[in-house]
Amino acid sequence: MNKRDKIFISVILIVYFVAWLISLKYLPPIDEAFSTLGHRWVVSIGGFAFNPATLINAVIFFLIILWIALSVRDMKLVPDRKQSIIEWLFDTFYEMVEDTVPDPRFVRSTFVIAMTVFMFVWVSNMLGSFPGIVFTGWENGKLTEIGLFTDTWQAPTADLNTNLTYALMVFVISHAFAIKAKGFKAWLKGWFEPNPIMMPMNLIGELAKPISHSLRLFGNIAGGAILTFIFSYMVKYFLLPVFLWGFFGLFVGTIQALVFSILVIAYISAQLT
Amino acid sequence: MKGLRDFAKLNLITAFGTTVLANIAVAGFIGWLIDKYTFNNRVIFVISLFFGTISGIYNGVRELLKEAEKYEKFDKKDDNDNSGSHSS
Repeated sequence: MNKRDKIFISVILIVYFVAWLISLKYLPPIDEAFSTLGHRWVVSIGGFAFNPATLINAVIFFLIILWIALSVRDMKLVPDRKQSIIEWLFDTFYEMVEDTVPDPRFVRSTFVIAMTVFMFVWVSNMLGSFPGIVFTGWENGKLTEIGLFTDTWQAPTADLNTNLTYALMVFVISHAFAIKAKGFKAWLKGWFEPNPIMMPMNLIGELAKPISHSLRLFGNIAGGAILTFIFSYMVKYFLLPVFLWGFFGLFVGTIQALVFSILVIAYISAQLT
Repeated sequence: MKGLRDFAKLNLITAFGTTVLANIAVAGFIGWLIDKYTFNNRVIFVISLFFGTISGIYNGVRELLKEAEKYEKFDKKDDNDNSGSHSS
């Protein structure tokens, strides 16, 4: 680091400190700050209630993926940096699926599902660590405020509906694959193994899979967001939020996306075994 | 690849806990639903909670054993690859 960089960082820190001192005066009292915590903006169309912020963020995710896909459209024989990162990621996943899935007929389709889920969940989790448009809801689901760069984006995966959709999709796909691989009779027989008495346990265990699958991701991401909010308020948004966004957004977000997609592979391969 | 897998191993800790809890919750819900439309005296609900607990521990341990076996296989494969590359 040369002298110019040191002066630049010192000026930034001084400006940050002064901004913090000014913000201390204008921050709302604690009750007011937490009154909107956990409330969401809910819109109901024909009895079907949903959070539009999740939809908006899902569209942003789609645009990011589209941008990445377009930027690596022309694959070269000698890859550049961007292409080699993507190639490494896809290669790692393919290897993982190949090692886990016992039936080679389903390796490619399982890889496509797991990779799609990983990309969606990872980008969604990343959104939770970058400042953006914030929609604040109230108890009755009405939208009260739209903030620009007042907080981070609300990660779509911090909404249980998104995670449950994916978990249920994986549940249905894994059983469809099992019927296709083993045949209907052998699949039906699988429920009564190792002993017919165990049928209720197997049934409950299978039904519990999508629940634990989705709740694990939801708990980590939504819990991280709430913790960041509370801790950030306690230090009046001074330095700590950057570390917390880094930890919960980048680190926990990546691990949870990986875990979620590894479970997708594990659940599908468990049905094929 | 190995580094990624080491992180995924951490998942086993929460996997067991969430499996047990999810099993109890699902069994409890099914029991409550059956109870509501039959005798309505909470007996089926309590019995199904017991079922849920047993099923949670059974499925949790089964999942743990399966994962442990899988990671053992992967580690062995990595060791073999490493020793192969050293010798050549």
